[in-house]
Formats: sequence, structure tokens, C-alpha cells
Amino acid sequence: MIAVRDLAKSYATKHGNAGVNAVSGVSFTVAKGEFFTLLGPSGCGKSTTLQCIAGLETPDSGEIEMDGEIVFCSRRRLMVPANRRNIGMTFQSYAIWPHMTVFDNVAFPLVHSERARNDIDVRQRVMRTLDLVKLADYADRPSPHLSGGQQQRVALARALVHEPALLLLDEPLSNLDAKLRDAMRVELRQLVKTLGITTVFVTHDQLEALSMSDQIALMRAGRVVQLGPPRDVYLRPATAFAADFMGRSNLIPARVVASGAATEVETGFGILRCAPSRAAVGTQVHVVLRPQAIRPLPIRQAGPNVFEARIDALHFLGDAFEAQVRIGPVELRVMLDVYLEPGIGQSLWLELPADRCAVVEHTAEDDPDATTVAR
Amino acid sequence: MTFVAADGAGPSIERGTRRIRMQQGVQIALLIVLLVLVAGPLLVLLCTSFSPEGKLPFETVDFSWANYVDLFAQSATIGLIWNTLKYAGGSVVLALLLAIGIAWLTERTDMPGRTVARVLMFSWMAIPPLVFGYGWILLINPSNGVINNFLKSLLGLDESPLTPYTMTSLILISGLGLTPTAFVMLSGLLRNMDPLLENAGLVLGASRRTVTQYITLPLLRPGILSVGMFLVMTMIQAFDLPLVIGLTAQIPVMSTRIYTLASPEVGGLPNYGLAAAFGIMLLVMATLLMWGYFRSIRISERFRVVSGKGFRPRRLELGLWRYVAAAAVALYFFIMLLPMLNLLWASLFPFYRVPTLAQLFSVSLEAYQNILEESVVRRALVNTVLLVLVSATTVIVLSLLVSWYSLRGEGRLGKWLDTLSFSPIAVPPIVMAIAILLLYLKTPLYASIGILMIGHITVYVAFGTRSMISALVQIDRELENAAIISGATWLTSLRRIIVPLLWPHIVNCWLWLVAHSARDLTFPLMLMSTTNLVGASVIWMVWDYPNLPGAAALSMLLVLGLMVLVVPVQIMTARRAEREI
Repeated sequence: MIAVRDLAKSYATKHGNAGVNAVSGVSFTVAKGEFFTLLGPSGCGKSTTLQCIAGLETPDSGEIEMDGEIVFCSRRRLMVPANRRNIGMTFQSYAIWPHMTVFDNVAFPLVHSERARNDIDVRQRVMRTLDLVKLADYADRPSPHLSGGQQQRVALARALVHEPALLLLDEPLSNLDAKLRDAMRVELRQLVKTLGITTVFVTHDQLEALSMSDQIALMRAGRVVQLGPPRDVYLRPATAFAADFMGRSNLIPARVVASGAATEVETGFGILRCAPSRAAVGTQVHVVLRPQAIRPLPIRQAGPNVFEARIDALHFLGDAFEAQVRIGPVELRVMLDVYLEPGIGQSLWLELPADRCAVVEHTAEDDPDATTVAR
Repeated sequence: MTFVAADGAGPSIERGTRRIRMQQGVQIALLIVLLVLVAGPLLVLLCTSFSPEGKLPFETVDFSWANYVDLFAQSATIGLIWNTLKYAGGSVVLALLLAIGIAWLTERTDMPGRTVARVLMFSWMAIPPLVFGYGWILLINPSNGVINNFLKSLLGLDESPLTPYTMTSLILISGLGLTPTAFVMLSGLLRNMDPLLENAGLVLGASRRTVTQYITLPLLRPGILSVGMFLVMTMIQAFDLPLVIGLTAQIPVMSTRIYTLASPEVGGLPNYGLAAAFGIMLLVMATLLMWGYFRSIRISERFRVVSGKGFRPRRLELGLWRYVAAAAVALYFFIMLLPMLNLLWASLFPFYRVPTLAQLFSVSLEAYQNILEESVVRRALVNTVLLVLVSATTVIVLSLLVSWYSLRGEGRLGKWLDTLSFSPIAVPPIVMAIAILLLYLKTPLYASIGILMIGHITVYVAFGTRSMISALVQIDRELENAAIISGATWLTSLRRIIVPLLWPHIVNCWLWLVAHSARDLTFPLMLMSTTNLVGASVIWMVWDYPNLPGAAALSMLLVLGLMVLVVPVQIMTARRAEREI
């Protein structure tokens, strides 16, 4: 459905320097009907990528193909402007026009578009779309008199009313309060899945990305650092950044002592067996381990990857304790059962299951201090 | 942005690029229009100032310093500059003192009637300086001035004690007339000053007086300074009052000198070369002041004490003194209204009579009837309507487009447009008028109403653009992007989204432009012909004829017309402001 190839865009800085690379070398494809998410921290280039797909920004180089048609190609100096791309889009601020009613907002793409056709019944189409987002009763309301969630629905209706081939969602949930956000997350995915419309979704919230997407492209400093289905990206992070960004995780510095199917690393508290990895023997790596992947043992059991730990601190989260524990010199976070009443200073035995210990290469940019983020 | 449809691109792409082409086409057209409007006249002015004596522009390519030698050789030039500075400085100091006092009372104290005072001040732009000046001449002229007569009978004098025809009177009258402008610029400054800064002083044990001396005044000083610079700049360009009072008093200033050189008394030949040289000199002075003004603004930004809406201005309780304060402000407005009342009186009799109670019963509208029967006057009224409608509307359209390009456009062109449209702010209208006269002298446009439109569009586009940019900047770009994504063209998004959202601002700005275009005398007089008379120039002509009741009647009609436009908006704004506080 869409293919983005080698996209690059830089912005001139104030001082007239060469400019900041907002996006460089971004490539991905989205299949028809897929829910595709661009995920990353602010300034990672995800919004710029979306704006380039929309045609609101002109990339410096690269190629964008949409529905079999090239809409941008720097080599052929070709650019199809946004109003000819047959897309629907919602904006972070919703961009509901305050001088119009809900109906007029939604009818706009049918009435004022270059592609507008005369043979369609505008009233019927608008009402059908408003029905879809459960706002049919609000058609004649002036749009400023709507709540945040309702404005969100109007924006969605406006993006869908002309039955575009592609739907672009720019942080649609970030301005909603937490409860509404949870509800809309489910609803939004259901809606676009029922319509079967291809969707590109931009967010900085990994929870949204994980729960809604078919595919996630994790971006950082203008590049895609990992691409795959949510479970893959979460469970098998390719870098320490990916691991950290997708959710709380323990990063254990280590050195590889055996590679391949039986990867083993040496950590501050001894030898640790890990999931298979191609990291060469002797390299410095990080072992990524989610707090909930660690298995607390009721009694001491002998076995590989079992270590004694001491509890340093406890945070009661309601459904679990998040405990800060120490194995030798290494600090780890682990989830403990609230019914076990653990106490600070207690010792316990932990199993670090080998298949859950992912080895990621240690790179300079993983140092949090050395992180440079393009804006 | 140089992407165009390329090889093998189907018709859909061909059509698709129209948005970009349209957008770029309009931008280039805009650039050309502004270049012709702004740069064209100034270039011709410069050339004329360097051409040999007695030559018109386009007649010669010779280069000569003669005009500048002439200008600096004349001993009168030094006196002229001194007069201009004295006039500008004196009236600005008076206006600032009055305006600071009144603004402090209306914005920072509980003086009764402060809203009325504010509305009156803001509505003053409906009174053209020309009309104000004529009113004062009626009041204090030595032969039959109302105040002179009153003082003579009261004090038993033989001679009239007052006259408008001195430098002091000129400064006093101009200062009074400038006060509302100063008030408009200063009241916001006083209103928005965060009272917490003052309260902090009070809490720390300082007395009211110490706080005023060491906190309030120093905080306001940069703001007052920059307002003062701006006012000096407007006053060295002022033309109306120096013309109607200063010429009779034989106190020439730069602006009136340019006028007398370009349009001499009957029989004389215009000396365009020397007028152009004076114009360039005035332009240099104004540019220096403008530079100083922007520097001082940057300094006052550092002292910014505006903190949004999150506070309630602390009003000083004056106690019984508040009635004294209200009386003083009322006295100011009484003085301001006296000349207008005198003009009104003059317009109510076919022949001017010195106001007495006994005459009150024989008032009539005969003067209005007589003057409106003149075909010249009727034509002038039609011209005025044409002039203000066309120039205000054109300025709005140009400003809207320029501000869009300068905020949303890509590349440098937008910034150029911005600079080009803003540069006339430093060009005194009298200089722009002589420059436009020189450029269009030999064209059929010269004698038409069209040349006045061109003049007004050129000088007001700077105001229009500033005003539009400040409004457009508050409109989220996503609102426009949403329209483009919905398939709208650039023009549709402007028409359906931007214009409706800016509408209240556009109306306000349009009314300001209409009012200023209608009250301006500089362009109508400098470019006057028999066919392009407008309201202001016809009043001047009728007064000079002399037909005093006719001029008074026309003045009243002009003021009335302007008030209908200005006052409702000011009352609405004042109401809104009261609600917000």
C-alpha cells in the first residue's frame, strides 16, 4: 500500500548551518489494511516522516509510493501535493475549525476538495460517518462546544468521510485524559480494522503502540532502529534503547564468553546463560531482562541462572510490588507477588530464565549522557 | 521548492501541482507589486534629488550635487531643522506628560468614569488634525476668537491675549491632539504591569512613594522612552497642523517646506529637485529615529513585565481625591472638545457669527445645504468613498497574503516580502507623497483618484502587514493543513479557513484603515488636481476660499462619518476589556 524508500529531510538551523537531520535513510512498507505505528521519543523524526507521507513537508530526498503510484521522488523531481493524495489525517490539536458546525467540519472534504464529486449525497455520507463515530446527534452543534473526546471523533469522521485510501493519525490520543485514552485506544483500532483502511499512526507512547499496532517502527534520532510486530519489538529488543523505550527493563552490563546457540556472558554476579545471540566472544554487551521476566523462587533451588538477591527497596503498585534488589554488585528491578509480604533487607532466590535474557550490543549512543536527539 | 510534474506523470499529477504553481505565482506577483509600490517611488526620489536644477525626473541622466549644495548652503535649512525638532520635541513632551497622567488614572486608580475616558481617548482617531486645527483657529484667532473675546471682556483688554500663530501655540495644539495617540500606546503598558512587582516593594516595607520612585517608574522608563521615540518620529513627519497654523505663522518645518517647494503659490514654479533633496533628508532623519526606536523596543523587551492574564490589576484607592482626578480629566476633555463645539457652531449658520446665547435660536442647516450643492464637493465625497474603500480593501488583501507568506511560506522570498512591506514604516508620508508625485507626474494616473489610492496603499501596507501577522501567528497551522489534507486548494483554505477565522481582526483593521485614509491630508494635498479632490482636501480648499461655514459643515460631516465607524468598535472593545478583568 505504501512504500517509503530512503527518506531524508533536514531543517535549516537559525544560524544558517548545514541544518539538522530530522529524518535520514528511513525506509519501510505498509501492507494494505495494516495498522502501522511510528514510535519514538519526541524529536525522533516520526512526525516529520508522517508529514512527508501526507505531503505537507517536502522531503530532501527519497521516494514515497502510495497505492501503486509514486507520489514523491527526488530523483524525478516529482511531488504530488497533499490535496491530491487521497488521504485522511487527524492532527495532534484535532484542528477542528471553530467557525463551523460539526456537520460542516465533516462535510468539508466532500464539498471543497479538488476531488469532490457531484454525484454523491453529502448529507447522507456525513451522517453515516458521524454515526460511525457515534456523533450523529451532534451534527448541528457549533464545534467549539465539544469535549476533547468529541472533538477527537469529529476529527476522525472528517478524516474518514471521503473514504481515503490511507489514514494518518498524528498522536491522536495524547490530548485526552487517561481514562478516555484507554477507551479510545480500543475503539480506534476496532474502527479502522472494521473499515479495513490502511493506517499510519504516530505516537510516543509505547503502550498505545503495543496495544494497537500490527507493525511498529521504532525511531530514534531520525532513523528506524527496529521494525516488527509489537511482541517481537517488546520481547526481542535489538538495542538497549529499544529495550528501555518499550518498557521498564534491567540492563546488565556484561562480556560475552560463549556465543551462538548457547550464549553465555560474564556479569558482575557471575556467568549468565542467555538467549541465542551472534555477539562475538569478548565483546561488551548488555543483557536485557524485563522485571516481570524474573522468576522469584519460594525456596532455594539449584540450577543455572539462579542467584540469591537481597531486597533494597519496595514500591507498592497495587497489583504488584516493584522491588529493587541486589545480586552482588548489580541492582535489578523485579516484580513480586503482593500477597507474599516481602520485607526490606530480606533475601530471596531469583531465577533469570535464559530464554528471557536478550543480549544487545553495547553502543556509544546507548549511553544516556551521550544521547543526541535531533529536533 | 522547485518540484514540478515530471516525465510520465499522468494528468492527475499535472493538475496536482497547481497548488504549488498558484502559490508561487501569487507570491511573485506580490513581490512585483510591492517593489513597484515601495521601491519605485523612492528610487525616482533619489534620482530627482541628484538631477540638475530645473529638470524633471526621466528628463535627464545627468548627475549633480546641486540640490544638496543648495540645501546646505541655505542658512534657512538649519532653522528649518531646528523648527522641526523643537516642534516635534515640544509636542511630544506635552503629550507624554498628559497621557501618562491620564493613563495612570484610568488604568491604575479607582477614578470614576475611567471607562468613558478610555473610550473617548481611543475614539479620538475620528478627529482629523486638520479639523482640530481649524477649531482652534476659530477659538483663539486674534480678530474674533471666542476665547479672546471672552478674555477681553473679562479683563478689560484692548488687544487679544491669545493667538494660534506662534510656535508655542502650534506646540500646545499639536501636543493636545497627540495625547490620545500617546495614551493608546501607554495605557496597555500601565495596565499590564504586574502589580506583584509593586506589592513586593510594599511588603518589604517601602512607602507608596518609594515604590513609585524606585520600582514603578524605572520599570516603565524603557516603555515610555520607546513610545516617545515613536511619537517624535510621527511628529517630524506631521503635516496637517504645521500647514494650517504654521504656514500662516510663518514657521516652516521640513514637511511644509517640501510641500511649498513642490506646490508653490500661484505663479511660482515647483522646484522638484530641492523638494526631493529635502525629502531624502527627512527620510534619513526618520530612518535614524526608526532604528533608535527598534533598539529601544529591544531594550524594553528585557524589562517586560507583562505576564498574561493571570492577575488582577491593583487599583490605587484615591479616596476623595478621585473626584478631583475625575474633574481634571473632564477638564482635559472639555479643552479637547471646545474647538469641535466651535466648529459645530460655525456650521450652523450660513455666515459665521461669534457664539452668543441669543443666536442659539436662529441655527439652521443652511450651510450644509449650500456646500452640498457644489458639484466639486459632491464629487469629492464620491471620491472619498472610493478612495477609502479601495485602499483599505487592497491593503487588507495585500497584508493578508504577505503575512501568510512570511509566516508559512518556505524559503527566503517570504522574508523579503515581509521586509519590503514593512519598510515604508520609516518613510514619512510627505516623502512618499513627493516620491509618488515624481514617479507618476507624466502619466495619466497623476490627476486621478487612483494616485491617491496608490499612495495610501503604499504607506498603510506596513501597518496592515504587522497587524495581520500578529493575528495569523495565533492560528494553528494544523487548521490549514487539515483543509489541504481534505483536498482543498491553497486558495480554498485561505478563503474557507483563514479568512473566516481572522474575520473580527480583519474588520477591525479595515476600519482603522478607512478612518486613516479618510482623515489624511498629506496625499490629497500633495497630489491635488481638480479631479481628485477628496474630503480632507476639499475642506482645506473651502476654508481657504474662504467659506468658513462650508468648511465647518464639511468637517462635521467627515467627523460624523468617522465616528460612526470608530466609536461602536471602541465601545465594544471597552466592554470586552471590562468583562475580562
